[in-house]
Amino acid sequence: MVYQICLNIVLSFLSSITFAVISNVPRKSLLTGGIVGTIGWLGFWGLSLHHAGIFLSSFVCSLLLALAAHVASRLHKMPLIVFYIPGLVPVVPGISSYEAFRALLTHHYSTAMFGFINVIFSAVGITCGLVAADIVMRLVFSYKLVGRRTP
Amino acid sequence: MTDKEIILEVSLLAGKIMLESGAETSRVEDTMERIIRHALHVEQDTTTYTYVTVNGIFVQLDHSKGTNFVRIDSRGHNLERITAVNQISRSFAGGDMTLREVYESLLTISGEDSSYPLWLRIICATVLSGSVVLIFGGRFVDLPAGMAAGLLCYLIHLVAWRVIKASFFAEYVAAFIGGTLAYCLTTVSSGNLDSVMMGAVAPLVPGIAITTAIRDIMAKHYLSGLIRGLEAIFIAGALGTGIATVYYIFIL
Repeated sequence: MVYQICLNIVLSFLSSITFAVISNVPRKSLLTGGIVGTIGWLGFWGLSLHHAGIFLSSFVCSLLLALAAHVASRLHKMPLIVFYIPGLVPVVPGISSYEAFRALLTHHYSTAMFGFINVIFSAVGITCGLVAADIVMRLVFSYKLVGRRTP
Repeated sequence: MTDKEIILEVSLLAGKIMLESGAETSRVEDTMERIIRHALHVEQDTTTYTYVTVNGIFVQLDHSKGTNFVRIDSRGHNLERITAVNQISRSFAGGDMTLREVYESLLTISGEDSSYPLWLRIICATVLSGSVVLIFGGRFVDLPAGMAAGLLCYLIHLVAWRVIKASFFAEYVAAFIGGTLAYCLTTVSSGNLDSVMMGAVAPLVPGIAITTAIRDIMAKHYLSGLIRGLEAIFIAGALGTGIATVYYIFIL
C-alpha cells in the first residue's frame, strides 16, 4: 500500500511536470505545478480506489487541484491555469474520449456508449469542482469569480 | 498614429497573442478591457466594446470610428506567453509602464517561440508516455514499449504538422504509426497492448482543449466553447481512428 502511494506520487509529479514542459509553462512555476498536480491526482486515485464513481472522483480531484492552484497562483502572482492545466492531465477525459472513439470504431458499441457517458460525467465533474473552488476562494478572499463581471 | 489607434493596436495585439497561445476567451476580453480602460483613463466605459471568439477579435473604441478586428488562424498551447501578457497588462494597469513600452514588449513576446529547447520537449513527451502507462495500470514490462511508442508518436506528429499543416491528418498519421510500433513491441514482449497504446497517444490527447471549452461555456461564451469542444472531439476521433486502423490491419 505504501509502495502504491509512493509510486502514484512520483508518477503524477512526473506527468504533471512533463506535460507542463510540453505546454510551455513558465520555468518558475514548474515545481509548484508538479506539487499541485500530485495533490489533485492523489484525490482522484484515493476516491477511485474506494469505488466512488467517476463524477465524484473528478469533482473532488478538480476541487483539490483548483484550491491548490489558487494558493499557488497567489504566491507566484501568475494566472490560475498555469498551475491548473498541467495537474489535470491524467484526470481530464482526453484519454477516455480517445478510448471511447476506439471502441466505437472497432464495433464495441456498448463500451463506446459507456465511454462517452464517462467522458461527459468527468467533464461536468471537473467543471463543478473548479466552480466550487472559485466560490470557496471568493468567500475566503472576496476574490473575483471566473468570467466577466455583471454589467 | 493617433492616440486611439495606438490603443486599438496594442489591445488587439495583446488579444491576438493570448488567443494564439490558447487562453480562454473570457480572460482575453478581460485583459483587453483592462488595457483600454486604463489607457483611456475611464473606470466604467459604455462606448467601448470587445467581442472575442476563438477565430476572431472585434474591438470598438468609439461609435464614430467603426470596428477593428483581427483573425486568428493558428492556435497552440503556450502558457508562458499567456502569463507574460497577463503580467504586462497588470503592470500597465498599475501604472508601471507606458503604452509605448507595452507595445514594444508585446512585439518581442509575439516574435519569440517556446523557451524550452526541442530536445527537452521530446524527452518530456517520452517520460509522460511512460508515466501514463504506469499510472493507468500498466506493468513495468510495458514501460519501454510505451515510451518508445510515445516518442515515435510525438516525433511523427511534429514532422507531419510541419510538412502538411493539416491538423487532423497529422494526429491520424501519428496515432497510426505509433500504434503500429506499440503493436509490434507488445507482441515481442507479450505485454498489455491497451495500456501501451494509451501511453503512446498521451502527449497528443486534447486535454487542454476540453478543459478550456468547459471554462468558456461556464463564462457564457457559448460559441467559443462549442468550437473548442468540437475541435477536441475531432482530435480525439482522429487519434481513435488511427489506433482503430492498427486494429483492423493486424488484429481483426
